[in-house]
Amino acid sequence: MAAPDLALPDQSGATWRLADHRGAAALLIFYRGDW
Amino acid sequence: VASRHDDLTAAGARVVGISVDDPGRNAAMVDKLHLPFPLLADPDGEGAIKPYDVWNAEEKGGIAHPAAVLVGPDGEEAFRTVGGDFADRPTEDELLDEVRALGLDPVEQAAPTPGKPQPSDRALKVRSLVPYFLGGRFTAMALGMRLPDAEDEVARYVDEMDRWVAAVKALPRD
Repeated sequence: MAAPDLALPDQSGATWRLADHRGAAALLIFYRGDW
Repeated sequence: VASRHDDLTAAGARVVGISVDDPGRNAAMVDKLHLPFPLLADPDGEGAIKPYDVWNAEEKGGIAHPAAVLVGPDGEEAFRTVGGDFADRPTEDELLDEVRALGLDPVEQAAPTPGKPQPSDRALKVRSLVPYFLGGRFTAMALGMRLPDAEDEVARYVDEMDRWVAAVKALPRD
């Protein structure tokens, strides 16, 4: 199954795009958040 | 996962963390935990958490379920685990095994760019500890009335709680 593309701001505000990382694997760690 | 970051990049995977926290909170986390990978902000879940079907609408107005999704170099989802605790060593080993199974070349992952850390509104203020010390003091006194033999210990405990309260009150207001 194709993984949905994603483009989100990192901690510095720069956009991180999954599509920029083709050719390598990406491990997406979803977590609850520090609330 | 942070402790296994070198192994994961050696096996060909870059790591990102994703939650509803905003970039300021994530900057504070990266800074505090010296994380070797970036944290991405998805406050409403629309950017990744919902598309990846790990949205938990039941809690706190919506947060991510704890989950790991491995995306292969072809953009296909290779593996996922949902609901685990990633402090668990077996889960980390399992993730590493899954990455190694892809048989990829090692990759680099640059250290995350620092942001502007913003402490959480939920961070505990030192002054908010005072009621706990007073509660401890009161409990010790109440117990002391029932335990005459423990008079000295109760007195020491009450003194100690008084010292803590005085120490906290002597701090500048935060």
